[in-house]
Amino acid sequence: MKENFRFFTEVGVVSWTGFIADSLYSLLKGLQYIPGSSIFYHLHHALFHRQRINLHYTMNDFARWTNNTLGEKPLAEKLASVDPLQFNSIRDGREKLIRYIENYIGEIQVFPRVPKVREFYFMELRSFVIPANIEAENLNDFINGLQKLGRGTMLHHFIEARFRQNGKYHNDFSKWFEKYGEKEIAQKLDKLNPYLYDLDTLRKMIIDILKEHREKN
Amino acid sequence: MKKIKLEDYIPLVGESLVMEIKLLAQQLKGARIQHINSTKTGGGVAELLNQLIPLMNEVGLETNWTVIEGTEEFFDLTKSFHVALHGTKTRITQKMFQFYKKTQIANREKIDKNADFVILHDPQPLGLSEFRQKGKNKWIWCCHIDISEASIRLWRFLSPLVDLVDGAIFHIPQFTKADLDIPQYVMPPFIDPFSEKNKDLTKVEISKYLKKYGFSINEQFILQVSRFDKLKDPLGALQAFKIVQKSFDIPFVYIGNFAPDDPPGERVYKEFIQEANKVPGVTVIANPDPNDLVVNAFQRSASVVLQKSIREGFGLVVTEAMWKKKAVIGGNTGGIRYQIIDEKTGFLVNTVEGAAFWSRQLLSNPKLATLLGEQAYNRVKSNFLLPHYLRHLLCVLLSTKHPGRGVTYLNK
Repeated sequence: MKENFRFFTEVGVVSWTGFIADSLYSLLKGLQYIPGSSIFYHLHHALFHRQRINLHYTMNDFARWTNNTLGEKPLAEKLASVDPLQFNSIRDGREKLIRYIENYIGEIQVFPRVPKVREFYFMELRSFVIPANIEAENLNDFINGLQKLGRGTMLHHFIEARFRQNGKYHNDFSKWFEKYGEKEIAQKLDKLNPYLYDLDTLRKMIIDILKEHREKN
Repeated sequence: MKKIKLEDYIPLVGESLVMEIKLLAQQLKGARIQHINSTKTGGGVAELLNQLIPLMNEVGLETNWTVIEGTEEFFDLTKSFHVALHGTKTRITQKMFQFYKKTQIANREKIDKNADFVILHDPQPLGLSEFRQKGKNKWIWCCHIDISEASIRLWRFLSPLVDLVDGAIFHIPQFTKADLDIPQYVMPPFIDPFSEKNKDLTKVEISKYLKKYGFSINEQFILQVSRFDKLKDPLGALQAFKIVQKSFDIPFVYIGNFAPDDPPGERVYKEFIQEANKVPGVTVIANPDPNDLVVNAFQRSASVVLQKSIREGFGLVVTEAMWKKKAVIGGNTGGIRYQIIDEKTGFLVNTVEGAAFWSRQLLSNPKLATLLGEQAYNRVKSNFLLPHYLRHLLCVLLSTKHPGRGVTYLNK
């Protein structure tokens, strides 16, 4: 029996982990000890910025702080290059960030500290995944549903899905379309790199792909 | 006035955000919520609750609002607490602590025993946390002020009371406290786009309120709206204006409030007036009437908006001006740093000279002012409106109900 796609949405509030960094050294220490949820939050926080009015906001938070506050631009470039698409677990991401900083620090013994107001606060998202009470039976329903939903739905089905599943596809949408014979859509959606856009743009791009497919057929 | 419904916010914040609020509220369906603070009128918290509570009720949460009672001595001591929590040296005595506790005891009957959630606002009712029945319901403390530099002596007295609740809410990460044992949530406050202070005004309405104070709609002016408080640096704003005046023939308007029972405010006002009288082109409007509409009209009409604070909580006055598409020149402190993306939605300044420099840039380049103002408006629209706050608050309530970290699935 054909199973409908059930849309969920993820809604959360930010909380402080209790960790702070005031230097490159304490950033490194923080990365070693903070919970994975904090690594996830700071790697993905930029995706929520609808207005990309400041290009530095497109970097992950670690890279942005290293660039804007510490002024360590070469390291910031490396940290900004940490692409969650390249790893399957937050642990991999954490290790990559740590490695970059350790290599950069090398033999440095003295680390300038930033004033209190410019410290980096390690935050995390406390979130809830809730059924959106919208289901899709076919492509039209899917487009309509997606048009009504927002960033929380994209976060759950398109971003976090990658860390939940080890399969052919990295997002819930592609999995569902493949299952119902829409392999072309599934592949197209899977090729989208969510880290190049904010979540609103990504959602619009997906809707455009689906609409194009509908018109073609 | 038409009653504002949650649906009315859809054109501003989008359908999905309103839907998320309703979905979250469904998860809390039937919950009874009690807000407790220390005043029904005046001040930011009363304004916040007046706007928030009708929407909480609309989404099916039985929400009520209780105000604690206290003598003049109690409110005097909480004023001293407020100042000391802001980091200003003030005498805090053991007697004050005793009186604070005594007042909490006197108010303990005001706690709604049937409430599922009790939300305490600011330090005044915080001591009620000692009277909670553990395990019966969830308690939250909302701290609306910057306590990062709080007096150690006072914080040692208050922090055990905070640790008795299930979670604390602060406006920005820098306001959190390292010595608390409970979850600390961070969510910015909000402005209500439909309030008198922020609603759209027609040109006729703007003219009316400007005219009342001798201005016309086509007149350029520099504006600062703040309480008469040294931390808002009114004299610094005046100094900046004096520098700008050398290049531009433009007036400066300072709108501020002080209460009759606020001697320090009156002192700052008198000092400021004395200095302002020496500078041509300065208009000081104290306690305007009607306050919100006058502020609204002046913010909409200003060519440059300053907020030259030395210390600031979140700084909703900045949010209000940004909502009116103004590129605010704000002191590089507190929540102003969080709101203004430097050179993108306004300017962060550390000195009088910095404030003057960017004022002149905006006055000489109206296109830049328009661009930054537009971006400032979008920043507020995406982050600092009432529905954003409500969504976060509902998440905090759920978090206390489902303790843990990361992601929780509900009704999968």
